Amino acid sequence: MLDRLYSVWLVAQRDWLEATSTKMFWLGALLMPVITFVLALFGMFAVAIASTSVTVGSYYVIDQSDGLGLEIRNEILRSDVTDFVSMLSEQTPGADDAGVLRDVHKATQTNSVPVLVDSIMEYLEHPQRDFSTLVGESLAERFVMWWTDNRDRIVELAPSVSFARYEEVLDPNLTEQDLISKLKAKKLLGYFVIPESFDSSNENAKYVTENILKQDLANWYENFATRVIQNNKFAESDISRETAIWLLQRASFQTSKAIVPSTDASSRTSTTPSSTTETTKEVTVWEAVGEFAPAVYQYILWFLVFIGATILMTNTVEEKSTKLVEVLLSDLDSVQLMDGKLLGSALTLLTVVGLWIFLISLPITLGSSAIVVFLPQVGEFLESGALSLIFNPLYVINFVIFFVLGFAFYGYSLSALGSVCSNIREAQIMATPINIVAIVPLVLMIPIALDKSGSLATIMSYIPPFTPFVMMNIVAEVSWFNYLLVLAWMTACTLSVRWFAKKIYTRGILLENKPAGIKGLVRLVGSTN
Amino acid sequence: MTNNNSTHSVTFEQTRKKFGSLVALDKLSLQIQRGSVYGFIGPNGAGKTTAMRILVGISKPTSGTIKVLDADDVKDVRHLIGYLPEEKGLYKRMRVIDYIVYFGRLNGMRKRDAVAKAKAMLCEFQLKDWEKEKCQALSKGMGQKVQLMATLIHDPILMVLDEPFSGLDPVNVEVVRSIILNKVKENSTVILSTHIMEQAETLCDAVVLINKGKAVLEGPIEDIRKGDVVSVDHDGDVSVFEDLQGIVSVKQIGRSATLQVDPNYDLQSLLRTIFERTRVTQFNANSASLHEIFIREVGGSGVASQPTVDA
Repeated sequence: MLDRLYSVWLVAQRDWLEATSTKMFWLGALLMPVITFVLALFGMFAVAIASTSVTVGSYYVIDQSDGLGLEIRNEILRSDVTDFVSMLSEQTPGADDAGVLRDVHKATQTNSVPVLVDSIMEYLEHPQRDFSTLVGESLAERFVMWWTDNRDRIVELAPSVSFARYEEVLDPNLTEQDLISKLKAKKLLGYFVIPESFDSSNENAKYVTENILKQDLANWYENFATRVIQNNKFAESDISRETAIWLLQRASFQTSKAIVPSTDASSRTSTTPSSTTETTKEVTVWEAVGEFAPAVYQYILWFLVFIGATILMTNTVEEKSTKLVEVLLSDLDSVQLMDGKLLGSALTLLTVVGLWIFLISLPITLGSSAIVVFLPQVGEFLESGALSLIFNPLYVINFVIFFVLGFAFYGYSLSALGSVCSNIREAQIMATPINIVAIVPLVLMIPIALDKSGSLATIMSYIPPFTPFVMMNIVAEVSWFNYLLVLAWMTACTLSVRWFAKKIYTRGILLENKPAGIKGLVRLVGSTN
Repeated sequence: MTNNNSTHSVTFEQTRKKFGSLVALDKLSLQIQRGSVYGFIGPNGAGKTTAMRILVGISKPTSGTIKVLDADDVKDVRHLIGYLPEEKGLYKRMRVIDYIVYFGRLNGMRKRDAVAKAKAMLCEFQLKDWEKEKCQALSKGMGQKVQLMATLIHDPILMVLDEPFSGLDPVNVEVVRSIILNKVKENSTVILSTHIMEQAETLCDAVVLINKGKAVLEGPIEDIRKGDVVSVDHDGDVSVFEDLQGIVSVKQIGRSATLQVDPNYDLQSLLRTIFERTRVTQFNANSASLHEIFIREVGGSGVASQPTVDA
């Protein structure tokens, strides 16, 4: 028995050494995390650049109604002023900023934001808007004068204002033909047509654009239009603005996570349930991201299993085509050879994973403070506790278990297929059905992650080709009984696949011609070597 | 169980191998003497490689038995066998010495011993300078020598060599020949297949001629070659030999005819009949070469009662 295992180990060792002793292996293994890191950095910088340098898109409104377009424009303006004044209420303007901003900041300490906004809007909402006549007697006047001359500074201080992204073209002489020309010339994002009776029907209301996939402008303008029409209807029904806001108030819940309550004396002796603040904790964005750790594990597992199994198949075809396998089979059983090659490939993959973990953890442990300086998001991530969620021992241990089962399942299958093929192309064609089946758990990864205890997840976890990947995704939600049952079932299926693979491999590896499809494979299972 | 003391290294007993409806080996029975060189000869697809694969345990017989080094299961004596298949492949990215050592270790050698032995063999085979090169750098002949070293590194007492001379230049053919003969001197058994009949004739103590899965002839070379080939220079044409009893085949070029005579037929009586039919200018009687026997048995005439006549 020990001799047999030693032979398996020798085969595994040879395959591992051959795979890992090439420059290409180390280059590929090192490049992967470097590329991932560079892509992540690039993504972060892209987001940062995108958030600081948004191109302002223009739009136009053809208003066929009785002034609804103007009302919407004013509602947008009100929203912008509210955003800006709210910002001023929370932070003190800098010493370089105009005195009026500091005055508004002071005013927000004694007056509510809506009151200040109303006073400002009295000037801004005026249809003629001849701001040159203002003399700056009141704070609102002074603010409006500053507001009209400092749009860039407004965007800097309050990036959420609408004109940071969209700007209405105010030219009453433009015809629809002119607008179409501007659209074609990419000088206009789109234009809206507000029909005559827009407050009672959406009929003939249009948003015309060249890019129908980009709907953010339409959605944004639609929200304001809806708000204006609703406000008008409330006004017609003698419902005040405050009441309208109150009526439109949306119910919302803060997503929180249950935490294990402390077992201090008071809680042990308490006869009433603890308050929610003691047993729940608000979920941060990073923690929510961390919840997807099993899906990430599943993806890595899938990637490793298929890369490994495909390499195994390729090696089998190569050894068959060079007739090396005949020499090996005179010294070893076919099953020893298969086991050895499987173990060798698994060791190669684990070497890659180990290298990745090392490369990722090295900068985190040695230079986390330096990274945090450049990328504060990394600091937030490290402090959020998401790291402990990702490297949860439950996931790590199950990753190893399901890697072994999944790799054995697919590795034996593809080795058997490789053994009946004379060249790589034949093998790839033969493996196509397996590859198609294997994509299923990847496609269903997100739906399963969103409902880990659902019927789909449970059923899929019992289908052997999907089991390792699905279980990796849902393992935290599975009962012990189901977990053990699935594990036993998958182990039995993997051993069966090994048995069938051995039968096919033993005969197939010596065949000169490829057997005819499934029938040929079945015949090989039934024959002696 | 093995005792390795029997006089026979290998015994095939009614060994049959079928692949679907194809009978690759049909009830082969033969015994191979320990310490001898035994040849498997036959045309392509005759069943030689199948027989060799069964012998080394790669294939299992459909029926019948095979005993190798007194073991009923080849797996029990695998480490005592060295197998060189017909088509020879190498791990291209492996160093020459590592390749040889790997096969030594697969056959139970300790690493240190395998390395020492591999180095000695590389010197013997004049490949010392290639020790640390990758196998992909070797020429075809060098590759075959490395393969042979991997086959021999664990000092097998039974060597199974499928076409060991194919692709080798005359110098390397002699190297391999001398290795085979040295092994036999050490009481090892060498089983080889070859298409070169002269090689088999000069190297083998005994041969089996396999055709269409069946052993057509089997035994020591001298016994197989027994039987006569008669060359006759005469004034007539090939029709002279038509309907003659005792003639297996006739080949006539110009005035010279080569007759394959049935060894059981009375040669004197045959000659008298020929003299009656034509004027004979020259006459010669020899033992058949293995090449002639091969052509006779496999070349389509088989052992037909009626002679075939080629003019």
